[in-house]
Amino acid sequence: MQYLCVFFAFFISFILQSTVLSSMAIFGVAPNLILVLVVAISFFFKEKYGLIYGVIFGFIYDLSFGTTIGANALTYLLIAYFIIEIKRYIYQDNIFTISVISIISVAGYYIIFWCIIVLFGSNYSFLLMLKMLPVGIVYNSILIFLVIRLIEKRICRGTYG
Amino acid sequence: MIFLDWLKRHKKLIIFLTAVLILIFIMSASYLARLEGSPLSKPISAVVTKISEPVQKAGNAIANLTNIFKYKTLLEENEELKTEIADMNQTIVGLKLTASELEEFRNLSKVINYNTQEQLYNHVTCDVINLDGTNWFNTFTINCGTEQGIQKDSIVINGDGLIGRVDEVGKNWAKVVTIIDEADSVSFRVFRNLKYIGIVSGNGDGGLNGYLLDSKADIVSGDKLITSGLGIYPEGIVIGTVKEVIGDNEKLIKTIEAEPAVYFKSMQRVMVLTKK
Repeated sequence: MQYLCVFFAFFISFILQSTVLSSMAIFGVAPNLILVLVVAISFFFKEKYGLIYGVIFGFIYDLSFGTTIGANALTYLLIAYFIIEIKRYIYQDNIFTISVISIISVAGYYIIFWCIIVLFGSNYSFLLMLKMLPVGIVYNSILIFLVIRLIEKRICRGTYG
Repeated sequence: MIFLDWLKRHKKLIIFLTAVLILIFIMSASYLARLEGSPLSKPISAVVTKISEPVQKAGNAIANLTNIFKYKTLLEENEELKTEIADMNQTIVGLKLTASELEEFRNLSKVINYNTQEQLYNHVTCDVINLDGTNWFNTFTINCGTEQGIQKDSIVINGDGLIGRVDEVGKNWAKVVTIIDEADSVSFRVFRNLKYIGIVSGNGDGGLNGYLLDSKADIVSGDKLITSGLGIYPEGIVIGTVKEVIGDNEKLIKTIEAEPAVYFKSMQRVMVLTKK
C-alpha cells in the first residue's frame, strides 16, 4: 500500500513537473516537486525509505531530462541522509523545526546540485544559481510544509512507520 | 576483529558511502558516454513522451485560456502588427524584383549542379511535449522522431530563430538541446556586414557569449547575428541580437554578449530541419 501511494504521488509530481510547472514559475523559478516529495518522505517514513525513494526518483528524472545521469539521484540521497540524521535530535511536530529543515534542505539541494553539474561540464553560472536560491527556498519550503501537513492529516495515513 | 566490530557498528554509514560512490561512478560513466546516449534513457523517454503529451496539450490550452483576460494588450498588439504588415508589404514589392533576379541565378546554379540550402532540407513541425521544469537544463522533448525523418543533430528552429539541435531521437520523440545550454558553439556572421565571422556559445545565464575573429570588426549593440553555415547549422538562421560589445585591444579578438532571438521558456511549436 505504501509503495503504491508513494509511486502514485511521484507519478503525479513527475508529470506536473515536466509539463505545466514551467508555466507556473515565479521570477523564473519553478518549484521542484520531486525534491518536495523526497523531503516529505524522509521526514515521515522509516529511515531507509527516504534514501531509497530519493535515489529511484532522482534516477528516473535524470534519465528523462538530465545530461549527467545520477546528479539528481546523488543530491536527493544526500538531502535524505541529512534529514534522517537530524530527525533524531528534533521534535518533529514543531512547525518551526519543520520550516528550518525544509529551508536547509532546499538550499542544500540547489548548492549541491549546482556543484555536481558544474563538476560534470555544465556552464551554469554561480550567480544565476544564487539568484534562483531565495525564491526557490520560499516556493519549495511552502510546498514541503503543505505536503507534510497533508501526510500528517489524511493521505497515506497509517502506512508509514 | 576490531575492524569487523567497527564495520558492524557503522553499517548504515558504510551502505550510505557505498551508494554515494556508486552514484559518482555512474555520473562519471554517463559524462564519458554522453555522446553515445545511455541505453536506459531511450525506453524511459519514449514512455514519458507518451504519457505527458496529452497533459502538455491540456496545460497549453489552459495557458491560452488566460489570454482572454489580456484583451486590451492584444488590441494594442494588433494595431502594431497592422502597421508592421503595411511596412512589410512595401518591402515585399522591392524583394519581388530581386526574387526574379535570384530565380535566374538559381537556374544557372542548377546548370552547374550546385546544391543550395533550400534543396537540402525538409521542414517538420512538432509540438513541445516536455520542458525540464526545474530551471537547471535547457533541454526539451518534441513529439516527432525518426518516423518523421528526424536524426541526431537535426536543426531545430521556430519563427523567431535558431533553437538548437536534436541530441537524442526515438521513434516518435526527440530530445532537443538549446543553443543556450550548449558547451559547443555556433558560428555566426554579422547580418549588417556579412564578412565578419565569429563564434557564440551559451553563457549559463540564458544568454550568449562569443567573440569575433577580427578585432577591428565593425559591430555595435543591436546588430543581428545569423548562422554562418560553418559547422552543423545551415546558413542564414537568426541567432540573436548583440547586447554589448567588449573591445579588447590586448587580445586579437573582440568579445560580444548577445541575446538569443528565441524566448526559450515558453515554446509550444518548433520546426525541425531534416536532411532530404
